Amino acid sequence: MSEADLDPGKRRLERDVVSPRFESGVEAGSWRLISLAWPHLTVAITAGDGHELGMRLLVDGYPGQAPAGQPWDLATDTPLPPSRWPTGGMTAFVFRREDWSIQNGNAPYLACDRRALAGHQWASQHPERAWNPNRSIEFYLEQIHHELSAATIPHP
Amino acid sequence: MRVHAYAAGNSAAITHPDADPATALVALISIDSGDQVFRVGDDTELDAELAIGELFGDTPGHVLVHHCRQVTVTVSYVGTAKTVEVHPSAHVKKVRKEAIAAFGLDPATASDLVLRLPGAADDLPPNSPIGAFVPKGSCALQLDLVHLVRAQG
Repeated sequence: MSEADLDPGKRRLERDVVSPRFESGVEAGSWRLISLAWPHLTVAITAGDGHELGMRLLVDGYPGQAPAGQPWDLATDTPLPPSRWPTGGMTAFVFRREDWSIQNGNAPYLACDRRALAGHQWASQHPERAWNPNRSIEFYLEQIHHELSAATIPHP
Repeated sequence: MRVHAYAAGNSAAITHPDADPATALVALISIDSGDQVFRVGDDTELDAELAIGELFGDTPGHVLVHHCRQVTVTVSYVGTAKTVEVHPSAHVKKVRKEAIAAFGLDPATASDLVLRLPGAADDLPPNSPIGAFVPKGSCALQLDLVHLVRAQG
């Protein structure tokens, strides 16, 4: 057994990705699991246009620490260039090409994400949208899926 | 294989994590008189005597045991209320969509709306069956449609 296999965060995440709430999202077509290669979880989240946004989440310290996500090119297993980030709906508030995301690891500007949560008082100001150690991974995916509900995913 | 079973009035599913595909569904769930069994997101009744492998194939099963054939959901939004009729197996996100249509809201207004139980701080899980939030003995449910406050600044 490797050191990673003993990580309590990894064991907790392995349980959570087979939970009813996670698998109900898979069943409903909201998202799907691509891979779990600790400490990274790669998922595809369905947008309003029916296309998927790949995301790679750094999940070390889970669930005590919020996931740190970024758009991900599932074909090349590399960061998704900003030209292919979601557009439309509320995505201009979330995937902020110009003034925040690119300077912060391509992170979504949401209270469920580690990079956005750091440096803001959102945990106390917006607890209903913020990550806390009682959350599970499906909370993060539900937040992104909701933000993508009116979005379009540009094709390469 | 896994089977996640929801019941009326219990939003937390019971998971059977390692059930033999040859197991009859009825052996995993509790069915009272008047209850029917549905696949979540599908209003067709399941035959609970069938094996779970036959019902769900290789994928995890999601079922709802419920006493209602129709649920009346009264949704409150900015001081007004509308009623939508849905099947108990309908996903919460479908109820949200129907409620938004009932209020005649445009997509720009509606994109930040979520459903919550009255007075609750947390959103209802969008992929859960609405029947899980309807208590035994009732076929009605009250919900609030609320705007999320976006974290900014």
